[in-house]
Amino acid sequence: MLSLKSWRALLVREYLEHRVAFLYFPLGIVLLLALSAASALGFNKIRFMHEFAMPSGLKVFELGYLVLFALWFAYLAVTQFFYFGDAFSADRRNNSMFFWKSMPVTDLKMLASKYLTGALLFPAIIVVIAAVTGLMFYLFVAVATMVYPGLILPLPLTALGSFGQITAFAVVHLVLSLLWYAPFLAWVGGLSTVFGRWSLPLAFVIPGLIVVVENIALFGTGPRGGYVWGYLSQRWHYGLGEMDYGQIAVTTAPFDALYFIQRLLHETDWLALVTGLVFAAAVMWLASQYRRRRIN
Amino acid sequence: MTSSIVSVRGLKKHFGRMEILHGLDFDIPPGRIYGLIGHNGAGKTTTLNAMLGLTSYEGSVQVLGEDPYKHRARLMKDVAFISDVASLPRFLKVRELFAMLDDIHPNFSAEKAGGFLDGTDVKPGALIANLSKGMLAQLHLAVVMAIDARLLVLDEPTLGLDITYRKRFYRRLLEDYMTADRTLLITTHQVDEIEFMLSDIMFIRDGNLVLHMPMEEVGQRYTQLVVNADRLEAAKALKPIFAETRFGQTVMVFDGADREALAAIGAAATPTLSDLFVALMSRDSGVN
Repeated sequence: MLSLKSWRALLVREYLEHRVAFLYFPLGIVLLLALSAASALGFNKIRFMHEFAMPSGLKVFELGYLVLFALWFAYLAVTQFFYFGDAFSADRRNNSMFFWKSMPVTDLKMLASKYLTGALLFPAIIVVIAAVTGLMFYLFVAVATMVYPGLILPLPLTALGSFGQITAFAVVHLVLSLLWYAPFLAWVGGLSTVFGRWSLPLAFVIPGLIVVVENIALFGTGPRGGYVWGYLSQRWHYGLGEMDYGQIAVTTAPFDALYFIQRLLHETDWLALVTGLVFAAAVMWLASQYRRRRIN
Repeated sequence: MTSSIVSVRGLKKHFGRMEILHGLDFDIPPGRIYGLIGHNGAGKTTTLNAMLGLTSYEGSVQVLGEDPYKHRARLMKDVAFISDVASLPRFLKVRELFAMLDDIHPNFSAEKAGGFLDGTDVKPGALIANLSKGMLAQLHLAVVMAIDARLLVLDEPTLGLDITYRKRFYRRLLEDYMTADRTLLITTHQVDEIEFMLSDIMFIRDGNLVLHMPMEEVGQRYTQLVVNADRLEAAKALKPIFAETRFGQTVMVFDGADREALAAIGAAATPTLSDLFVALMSRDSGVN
């Protein structure tokens, strides 16, 4: 029981320290979106909707909601990168290492709580905020259909169905992406434990140097760009292909989460994903061993 | 000694090729208030860090029966320490800190901590980043006193505080915290301020323990003698370990000398801790 409370406290600690980036700033963006949507409606600046030639208000809502999710996930990716580059050395920078070391918490647990906050709690907050903007967007489309009778207002229940389908797909996509990119997040966090905020450039510089050294060593006898570059390029990409996204855009049928989740699962290289998780766990363990030996 | 709270044998520490601690041996029994005194760089903090599991070491260190470096997290359930009062997490409010510690630390009581802050200027809604250094010290002390620990380690806890805060800090510690079951280990440069509360003293110089004894034995073993110039040679014949001139008189410190014999030469008394510190730690004894 105490262990659970302890985990909760550590997650809350990270949340309190970084809530500006993961809650306050996104809420500010939501406010801006709401204001710009209201002003677009108020000043009748939504004529562009005719140019898309989509008579279905539902399709406008679905595509808009998907785009909103994509934008929020892009925001999440950037803030996560900076979070992992910052949070893992924050205790040293804030001179609070002694205090946290006086607590009955291992360094591994401390770092794991930082990882889990960045990889679970903050994404969960962004998903909720993205869903709120989705609902706001539905209201926007509903009002737009009144202004432009050519658009058909999606029934609330139908829209709710699409909302649920897209949210479910986005959540599954996010979870799989977080698992897929876990080694990269751990890599940035591990570097941050040692190098502080220098981890942000080093996360790219170190692999870059390895690629350069490999190319020099192989002297052009290996594949184009080298083996390391080839592997990292292939490992960097995750998600549905262009065909799938094209299908989402052109089809008139409501969004089918199950179909696209199956596509996503099918496209996932599970061996690479599991290997990446093992790498992430190893990096976190090594980082905790380093932190164990540091007091400032 | 199985009853010891701390048992240290052959404690060595290297930083690179330099040996900082040269094989310390000591035991700290329960219910005592220890002062660990030494110059800057003498090895006090390194010794404490080894005891707290914050640094690796050679030799054997047992704190409450645990190897602190292997089991720091487990040990911290029963050990509290302040190494730097500025180390509290600055992004939290006082009440957030208490709520968090309530969840993290099995022996922490938020209620007790709040009680210790009653009557101070530290308010529950205050952001820690906005507290003055004195307030931070009060808050940190409230935090560690609210932990039901068996060993409390304070490394320069009042550094940078003014005299009123320092006195209040130690008075609070004695009145509200110390019990027969608890052990306190303090390092500070302001030795005169903690002398009244110490039960035992350890002097560390250049990584070696040069003195380790109960305070009552200090008075039995060491004598300070203030002697006029005409009795100087007689006093020197009794082999002082330290001598210095103050306002035309010579002040000497003797180890194990017959106090009655000394009293016949000049004004004999038990040296204060700071006088003893100077006597034992000075590289030049001044006797010659």
